[in-house]
Amino acid sequence: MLLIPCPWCGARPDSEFSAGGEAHLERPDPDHASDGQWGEYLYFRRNVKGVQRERWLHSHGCRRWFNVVRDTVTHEITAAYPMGESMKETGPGA
Amino acid sequence: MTQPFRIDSGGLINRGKPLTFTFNGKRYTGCEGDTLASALLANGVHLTARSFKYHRPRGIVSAGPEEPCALVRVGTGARVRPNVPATMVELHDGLIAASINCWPGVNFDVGAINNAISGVLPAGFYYKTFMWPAAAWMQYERFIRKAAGLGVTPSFPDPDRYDKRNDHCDVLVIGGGPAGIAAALAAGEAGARVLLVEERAQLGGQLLFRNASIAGQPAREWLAQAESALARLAEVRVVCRATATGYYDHNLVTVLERCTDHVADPAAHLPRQRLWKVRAHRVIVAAGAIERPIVFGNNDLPGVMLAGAAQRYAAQYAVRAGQRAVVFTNNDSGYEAALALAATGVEVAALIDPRERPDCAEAVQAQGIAVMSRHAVIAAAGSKRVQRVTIAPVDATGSKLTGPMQHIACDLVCVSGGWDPAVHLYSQSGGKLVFDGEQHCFVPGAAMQPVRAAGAANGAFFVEDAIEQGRAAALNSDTAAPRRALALQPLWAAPGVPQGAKPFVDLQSDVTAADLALAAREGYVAVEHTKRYTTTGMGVDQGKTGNIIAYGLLGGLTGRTIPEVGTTTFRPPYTPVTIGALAGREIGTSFEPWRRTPVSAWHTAAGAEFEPVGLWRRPMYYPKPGEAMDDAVARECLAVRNGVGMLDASTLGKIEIRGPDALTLLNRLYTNAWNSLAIGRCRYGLMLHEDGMVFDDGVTARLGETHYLMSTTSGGADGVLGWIEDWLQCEWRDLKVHVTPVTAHWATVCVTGPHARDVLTGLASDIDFSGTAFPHMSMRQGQIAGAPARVARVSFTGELSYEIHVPARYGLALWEMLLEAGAAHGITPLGTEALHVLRAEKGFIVVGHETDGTVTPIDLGMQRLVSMNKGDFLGKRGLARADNVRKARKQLVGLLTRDAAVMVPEGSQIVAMENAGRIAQPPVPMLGHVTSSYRSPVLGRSIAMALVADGSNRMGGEVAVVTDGRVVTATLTDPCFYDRQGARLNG
Amino acid sequence: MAEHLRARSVLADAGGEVPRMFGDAAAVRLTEVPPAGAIVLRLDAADASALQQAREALGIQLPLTPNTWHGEGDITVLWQAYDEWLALTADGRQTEMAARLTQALAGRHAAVTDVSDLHAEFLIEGPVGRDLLRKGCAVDLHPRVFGTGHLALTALARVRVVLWQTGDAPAYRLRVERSHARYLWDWLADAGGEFIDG
Repeated sequence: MLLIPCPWCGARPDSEFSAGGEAHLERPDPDHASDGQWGEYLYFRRNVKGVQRERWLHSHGCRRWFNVVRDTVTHEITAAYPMGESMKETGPGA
Repeated sequence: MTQPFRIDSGGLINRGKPLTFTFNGKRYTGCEGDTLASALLANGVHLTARSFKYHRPRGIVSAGPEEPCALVRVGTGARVRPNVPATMVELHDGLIAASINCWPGVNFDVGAINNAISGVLPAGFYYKTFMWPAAAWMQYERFIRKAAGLGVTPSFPDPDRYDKRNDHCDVLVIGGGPAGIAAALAAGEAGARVLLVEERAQLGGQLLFRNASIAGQPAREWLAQAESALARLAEVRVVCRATATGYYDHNLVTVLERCTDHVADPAAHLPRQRLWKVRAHRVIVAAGAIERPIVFGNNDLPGVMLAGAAQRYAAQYAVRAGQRAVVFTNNDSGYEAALALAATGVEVAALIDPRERPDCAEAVQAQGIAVMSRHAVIAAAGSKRVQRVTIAPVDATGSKLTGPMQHIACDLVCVSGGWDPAVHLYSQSGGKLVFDGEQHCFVPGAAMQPVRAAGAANGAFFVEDAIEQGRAAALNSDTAAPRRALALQPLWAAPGVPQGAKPFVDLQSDVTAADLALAAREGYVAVEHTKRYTTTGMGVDQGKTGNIIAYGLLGGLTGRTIPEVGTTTFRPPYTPVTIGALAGREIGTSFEPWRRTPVSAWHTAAGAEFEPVGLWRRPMYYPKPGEAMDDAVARECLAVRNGVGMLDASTLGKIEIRGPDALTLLNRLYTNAWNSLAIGRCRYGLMLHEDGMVFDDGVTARLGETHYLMSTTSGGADGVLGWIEDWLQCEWRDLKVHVTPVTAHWATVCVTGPHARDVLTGLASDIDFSGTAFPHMSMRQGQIAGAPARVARVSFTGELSYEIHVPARYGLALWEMLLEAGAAHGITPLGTEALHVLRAEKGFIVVGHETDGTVTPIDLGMQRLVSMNKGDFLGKRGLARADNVRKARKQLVGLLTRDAAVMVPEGSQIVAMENAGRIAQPPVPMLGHVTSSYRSPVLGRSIAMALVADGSNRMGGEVAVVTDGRVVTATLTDPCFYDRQGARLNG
Repeated sequence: MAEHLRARSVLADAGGEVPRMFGDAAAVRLTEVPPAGAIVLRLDAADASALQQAREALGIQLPLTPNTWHGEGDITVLWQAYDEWLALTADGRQTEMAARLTQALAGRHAAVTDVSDLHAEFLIEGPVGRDLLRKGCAVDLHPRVFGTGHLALTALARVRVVLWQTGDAPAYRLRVERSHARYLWDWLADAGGEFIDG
């Protein structure tokens, strides 16, 4: 059972959270995206083996979304940062 | 004392407290401090079980959780516990236990026929025999379950209470032997919050039975001092009878505490067991080591025991496990056991060692014990108890006999093939295991989590080394504590086993060396495959004593070293965990965190039948005495159509939306346009996911310039709130708008029917309910009987309807007041079933009935609710994808069966009707399915809604509904069956 | 017909208005707290002048440190998120409090919502209160890391709660969504049985 560091409430068991999948997805411009591009946005994810950035919601706590950098092999979580912060500001990772 | 094998003095039992217990129907006496196993041995009872597959007589092999054979059934009735190792059952007065796997009794067992025909039950027998034909498996399974298996689970609900506990500490120490105690002391003295868990009833581990000295101090003295030192440390907690069962991510360890299993008559308010979920900054695994046997012929006979176990029975429990013993060891620890046995009056006939004579032989010989070096026990003999062993000289590697056999009479064979650190939890933590080529066992390697192993669990088999390692682990010191190695020459199985004497590798699953050899011959190489093919290690003991031998033998058979063979995966739990402990309080009415409205208790008192809607339990209908469901629902429906009904609608999701960008938010969330909505007016909207599929619907009211109140479906409130917050927090961070969920703040009662207004005008309120002042699709705020109220005029039934919201504390009073005010009009409470009938008559959709995540608003015939020219909204682009603009998608239609009395079940498949009312030959193309189906009291016939391919172009046509093997003919119609002009709700 | 709608206790089952109590404080006592006025305040914490206006309207400072609460007089403010607070006051004063806040924050990116009936509030006090809570709560409540003044938004049993420590005895208060109040009460009373029924 993972211990997920909510940037505000602190580390809590994953049962307090909802997973939001891959982070930093770009929503294509709906007026110009092709069906293929929209399909990519809707259904395709990278499914990284290794360091992955993902979104979590502290649903049983402060009810705020944030990003987490997690190694999907070891489950090690090396960073958690609020929405709106770019990937660059938070160090390495895919 | 009537315990013939009890030693007169010594041990840690209380002779002053005799305890009476029953085993297989016979009464015995033991002592306080005994386990069931030690008490049975004290009474000379060795035959305790029949084996899993061959029903061979089995006895007590170990003195711990690794016990493969002596599984017993403890207790009676609903409290019966099947498959418990007798070695871990603390004796209490009145304890009742019995053997498993035998009928009619352990001494005469019909299933033992399996042993006689064992030649036809080789490895993989069941797979080979019962794989074909597949349909016959159900027959075979019944036979297998009867013929082979363990104890029978109770068939009653578990009457006991189980508890859970979350815990946190700086250092969790698993195991209360010398290493664990030293670790807890060192960490505690350094100020850490320490939790020390010990599986047995008391601390001490090997100190309880080994004659060790620690820095010149007798072990038990050291132990007593350490225990009082631990007790003085306020932040050190010691929990005994607590087994660490699983090691999970981020240093979460589960611990099963047995609170009252050892008590004869536990108080009813105490939990029987408690499951701890311990989150530790650091973990020290000091779980000790498990002795391994050496395989020889008939090594499963009662009286064949691990040497360390015999030593423990003698020293800790003051029990002689036999009168005349043979010790068979390939390492020095067997010599210590021989001395301990001799010291308690057991005659040790011989010590058999395949090695050259080690230094420690001298002390043994000095006690008059014959040490036979370069010898091995190759078989034991006896019927229900070992009576003699056959030994023979062996070569330097122990792989060949080099001389004639001879027999030694004995009633106890003490075996030691070496020691395996209890690496289970360490491995579960993700830590690597490495093979110690000197002591020939797997030991912890590189860690993945903050965990260290210490003591015997880390391959330090000498007490002082263990203490040093415990201390170093606690202080997180990097200096590798030096340790002495246990002198050992590996021997997995004796050579030259005589014909007919089965050599068992896994005593619990009845796997022999021959089974492993067969698997190897058949090409099984991977250890995980071999495990499953032969069932090695698949019993409830998980092969704690046998697995390593299987790896050794498999290596020999396939020309590989043990590290090359590898191990099977160490999975939780370390020892079996009661299902009740996992369930904890999540049973019965607390199985789900059911939600209640302020009126819930009234519904119950009124005799309502409930149905779950999300986590709510909503009244489905209110049967009057003698009334069936259909009658009650029809009565409730007609009351609404002809008079007035009332519904507890408190479960509807409610979200306050405030801020200058509230309108922008609504335009992006809903498919329709919101710009023109005036203050005080309501509008219905559909929400789509980004793929264009409907996921919720509801009415939103505008309460102020920048203030809206959104309603959602009862089950969808959390999902909708999460959806909105997701967009606001992650994507639309520039929008100046806040959403606040207020569902449970309001109690909501819906009053619906032609007399609804008459009821409301009877209330003391400042709200004008007249049709002109308060038109359909509007909301008014005011007060009702002194309470603040919001009233929405919206309708889900097609009748004149009002939803009255008051703060929840007034909810029950409002309900009661409406009952009273409506009495003259025959106001009738209605449940969700009547509501569904009424809305289906009107062709209104229910998300989750008419939608299933693949349905667009266009499919629902709601094009007019989709504004393609208002700018972007969620799902807009998805709606334009090729498949979503495809012609002939499944579309919502009404369905009228030709026979008005026939009702088609929801979910029924719809297929095309060929000529003459027949359906085509299979395979028949599916056109769609029935989404809602009811009997309409007001129409006096069945009605249904369905999603049908190209439905809008098939209106008036006939289709076939296939249901329960029948074919029902039905006509496609508009889904609105009643008051299509909407005259009734606009009055 | 009754002239005024009668308010019911959260746990009232078709009747009583009296708050419930379980256990005795010798070990632990669980009490249903009578309703308070409660306001959800949403506000951008980076907007210093908005914070100042909220402070003036409330009469006390909003706690800006996550997982803390702050109380003065009959007003308690619980941190809820980086842009959200729950302000509690004596029952009956919530409308006035909401109006003051709404007025003070007019034109700002802020929202004020009366949620006085959204939650039930329980008081848990007594020496084993911590042991009772940790049967269903994964937050570390050890005095080294959690004391009076601290607050946690977390799960207790299987529902979301706001839990805050109000005394060293220890004493805790918690608020749970009203629809879950009965579930949580029954759960706590069952869990507390271990300490009481001896």
